[in-house]
Amino acid sequence: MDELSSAAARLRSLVRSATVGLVGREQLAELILLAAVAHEHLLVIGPPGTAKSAVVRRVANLMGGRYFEYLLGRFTEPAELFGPVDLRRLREGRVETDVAGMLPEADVAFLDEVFLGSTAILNTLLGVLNERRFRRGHTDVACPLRVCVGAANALPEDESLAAFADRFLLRLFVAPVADSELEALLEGGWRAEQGVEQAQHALGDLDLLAGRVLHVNLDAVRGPLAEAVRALRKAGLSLSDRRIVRTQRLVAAATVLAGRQTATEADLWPLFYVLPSQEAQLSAQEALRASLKVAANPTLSSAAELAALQPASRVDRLLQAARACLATDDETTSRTLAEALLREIDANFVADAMPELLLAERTRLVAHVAASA
Amino acid sequence: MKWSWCAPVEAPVAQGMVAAGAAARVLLQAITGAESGTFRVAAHADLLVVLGAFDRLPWVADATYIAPAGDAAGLWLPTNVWPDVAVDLVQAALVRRHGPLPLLLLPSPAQLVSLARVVPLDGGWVARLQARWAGA
Repeated sequence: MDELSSAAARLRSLVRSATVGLVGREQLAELILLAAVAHEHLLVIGPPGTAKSAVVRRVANLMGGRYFEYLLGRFTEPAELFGPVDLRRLREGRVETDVAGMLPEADVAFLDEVFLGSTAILNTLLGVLNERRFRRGHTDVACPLRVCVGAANALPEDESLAAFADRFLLRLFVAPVADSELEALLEGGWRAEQGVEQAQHALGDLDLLAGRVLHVNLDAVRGPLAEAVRALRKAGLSLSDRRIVRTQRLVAAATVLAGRQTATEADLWPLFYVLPSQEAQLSAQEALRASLKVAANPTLSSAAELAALQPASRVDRLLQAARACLATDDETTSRTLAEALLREIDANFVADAMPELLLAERTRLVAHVAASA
Repeated sequence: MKWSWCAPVEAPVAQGMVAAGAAARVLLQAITGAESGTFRVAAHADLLVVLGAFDRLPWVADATYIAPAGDAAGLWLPTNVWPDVAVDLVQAALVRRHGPLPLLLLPSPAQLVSLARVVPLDGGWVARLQARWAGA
């Protein structure tokens, strides 16, 4: 396995660890990685209590970098995010900010209720998000920020805030878990309370992949990407030129996270998450059906599946889950998991239309269940 | 109306399952003793239908997972294979010829099963079905 594939495989394991016990939040963990590798930012929209901060915290913890989290309010002062004025330097006549332990030093940041920030905060944040530089008074420092995750209950209606929101290229809309998943939520939440994840120090892998993004060969996907944007326009869904161009970074990031240096049509799925509103994303699933028919990603399988709603991406996710299940040491857990996976495989595919690889993993799962009966 | 079965674009979340013959007996064993209110059941000849939330349904080899057909909620279909025509038309045609909903349509062997008499699962029902199968 080459360096790229090994790094992608380690990040795949990180995503799995980050979402243990967090029902239906796999896409969020995966999109944080996608954004980090692409050097972009992610906006998560959804009601309070939907485990947004828990997922970001766990991904950050597993990455092993410096993490900064803050719940913004209307009266939040810039110093609460960026650090206080350095009084020692102030006596020398210089207005400098003491950024130790604050947002400008973070590798991963989570800003809850991000649109409630004052104009002063949002303007300074723009610099941090766009240029990864913190400028305030006489302070001008480079920020190591890999990814900033912003969260809010709803998209802002105010035009001036919409411009700020546009800096978050990726959008994910989350809802409370469905009725049918409540038992899994309770069980997962209990397990999550008991377990403490070990940091996997994945920043090195992340940086390695991010360094390869601009070297990805996108020649084969520019035509299909343009075709997909045309399909969106035809369906009345327009994207700004800026968002269309930057989508290429996401496609390249998806490519390296799949362990490759050359993009294929399987890597176009991030386009779905560039659509700025929930209504647009729902409509896009139909408009992009042809463009995303082969969408898949072994590292980000849930995010690819949600975007594409296609058998290819679903197969990919089930394959990854089956392999992870068969590699689990805990017999009781792996049997329960194997039965849940078999249930999902059988509910989705008839045997004679099942892809060969999935059929093989299904056979192994059946043998595993039989052996542990 | 001519139509055939095909893979659905997106498989709906299963809300039940059906099994026949030996698989039905394994399914009955798997649901026996389940907490009250978890499943509703119906049995026809050697066919067993179990309705309940997807993550509470057991996995049984050779069982078929089923769900109501979106636009035609009175018609239940397998989740992994669907008619290649509008399901509301299939439902209307079935109601005209075969009576009241809900109905479960299965592809192979082709069967139409009434779900009008599903009942909550309890020990008495299990015992009666076991006795019926033992005497068959």
